[in-house]
Amino acid sequence: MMPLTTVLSLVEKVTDPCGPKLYRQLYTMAKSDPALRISSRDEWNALPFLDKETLLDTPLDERIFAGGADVDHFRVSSGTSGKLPLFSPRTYLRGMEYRTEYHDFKKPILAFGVPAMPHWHEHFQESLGHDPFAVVFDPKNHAASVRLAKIAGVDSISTFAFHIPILGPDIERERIGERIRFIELCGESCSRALFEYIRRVFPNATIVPFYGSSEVEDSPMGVPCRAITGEEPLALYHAKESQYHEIIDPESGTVIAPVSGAEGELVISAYPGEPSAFPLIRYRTGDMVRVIETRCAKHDSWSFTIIGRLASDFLKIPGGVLSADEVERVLRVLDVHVTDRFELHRYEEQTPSGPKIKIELHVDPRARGLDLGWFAQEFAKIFRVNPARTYARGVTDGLYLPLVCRILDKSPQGKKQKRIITH
Amino acid sequence: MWKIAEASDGRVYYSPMAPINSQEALNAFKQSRNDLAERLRTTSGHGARIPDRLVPTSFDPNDPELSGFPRSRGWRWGGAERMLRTPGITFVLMRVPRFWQVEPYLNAACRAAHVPFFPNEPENMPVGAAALREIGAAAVVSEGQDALQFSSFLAEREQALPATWLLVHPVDAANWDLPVFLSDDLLVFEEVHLFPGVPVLEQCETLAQQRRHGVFHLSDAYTWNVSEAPAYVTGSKDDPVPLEHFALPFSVHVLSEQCACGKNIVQRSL
Repeated sequence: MMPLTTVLSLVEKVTDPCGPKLYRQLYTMAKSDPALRISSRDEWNALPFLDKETLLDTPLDERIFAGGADVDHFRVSSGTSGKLPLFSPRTYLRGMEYRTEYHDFKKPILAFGVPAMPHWHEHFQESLGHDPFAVVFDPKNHAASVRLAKIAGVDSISTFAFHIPILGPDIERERIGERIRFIELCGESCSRALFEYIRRVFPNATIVPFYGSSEVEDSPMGVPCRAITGEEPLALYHAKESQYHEIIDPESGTVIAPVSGAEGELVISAYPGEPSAFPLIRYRTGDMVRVIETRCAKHDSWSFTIIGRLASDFLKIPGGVLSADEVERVLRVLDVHVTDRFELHRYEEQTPSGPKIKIELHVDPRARGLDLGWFAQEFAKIFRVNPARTYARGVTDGLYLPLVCRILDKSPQGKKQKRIITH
Repeated sequence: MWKIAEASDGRVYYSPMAPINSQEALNAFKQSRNDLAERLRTTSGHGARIPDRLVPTSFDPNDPELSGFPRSRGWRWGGAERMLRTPGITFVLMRVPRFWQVEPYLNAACRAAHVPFFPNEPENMPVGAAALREIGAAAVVSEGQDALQFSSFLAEREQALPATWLLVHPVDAANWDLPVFLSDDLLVFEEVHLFPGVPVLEQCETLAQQRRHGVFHLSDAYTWNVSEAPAYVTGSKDDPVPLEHFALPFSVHVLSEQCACGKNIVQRSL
């Protein structure tokens, strides 16, 4: 992990009066103020946090710290609360050498654009002295992608965890599952059900988690301490050398000591070195983590596992997002039958083609006798998971299981009621 | 008249051109594809040399005969590089399907021009439109049908169209029309690809700047026989699996004028 002294010096860099305004505005600095120099932990702890809402409210040109020539590509992540999507600049990924512990990357790789662009995988192979060859995985045309992967002689895969059940049947049909020796998973945490599915379809693969974020140029945010072997917790991480990690109480913002058992929201500061399009200072990830070891013997820093998202009005699913705002909108369209109160529960069920997400929507009918099966179908036809897809369409495409509706439990709850709950 | 697409408001776009693939040309093209598929089957398979790169042998991902056409790793997408010489481009919006396997080639062209790119799922037009508003002046890499739908999407929302386009026409498309919204105000580089990432007909900057829709240069990567119908191409021996007297599903005729770049200008025969 990056020493605090190094991170402190980063504050001066990102508050340069000649540079982008993001941090200067965040720290309410006057135009005439020189760059901010801080030298103590107390001053550091007093710095405001950066979050996604702030990024969404900041024009792109006020948060790009590198010249256009150094920006390799842009990533997009969903906006919050109905806002426009967030575009984030990316230079080249760095600090990924840990992957060579698990695989040699001599043969071609089947790669989606996340966690890394296909051309980045080729760059990585070249850096190891191998011929670069990434077969691009297209989840919309997965069978064609896997066929090309077979012809190319692919022996590794890097993609979203939720893509695995999509390409798994193609892999089985092409009979190349045993060839795959390395699988890199990003996005949601690998569930036990997914792990068991991967073990069956890819019996020889080392499974390595990737914990990153579209907003974080210096992804991954956590280097895996080990491969996913079935030992709990399945995915265990520690900070990259180019990052400084903190855990905070999400309500008060107080920094929590990272000792074994501590839980809180992960806050990261990250600087991959020049060029850097977006140095991060105290970015609230929205991820809740639990410290597993105060000092990991192998990496000499604390290790953590991700236990979930903060109470959020968004839930990522394959091919889209379940938004509380969108749920409310559709419930109001159907308000003859229900009020707009709800809870949305996410589960995972094992199916013959691998684990699939199951969504249960708990609704508040206006009258007794509402046919919940019919209502679920009507809701799914209208409910959008992205601008081009309804939930019903996603079910038809095999991305997740059909929506199930249940009656909302209206008994009073002590804390603020979560509307989206992951099980 | 051929119906191309129907916009969400009910407007329908037609091609004014007659279908130009004769059945004979299509049959010859299919035979050439079958012959190539047999050669690829012979060269691929367990234990065979890993190819440099692969592109699909069809624009249809559901083609049961779909295979991988080996491409040299060193191949450069000249059309993309020419497009990127246009001043004022802030980023490239990539709107071709990922399974085309052209992302590394496009990225190489972008890196050489020091221009970032953004891969946009073709069906996710709202995000593509948002990228154009948020990121800056874009060049768009698109395919015929997508360019029609995306330009229509932008026009319906009264959003300015990007000034520069690289438009890929599949070789066996029914027509190579320019979408109606891509007016003469815009700079459009057109190409015809035999397979995704395998251009056979290209436009230089002169043809694009002169807004010469539907006329091309023959790709220098191949030896051409245009005196026969259909046209045939033969690849270089440096190609991993060179094309051998490969029939294209169209004929071309050479125009009497010569381009300012020095190359002959050809047009698809009707």
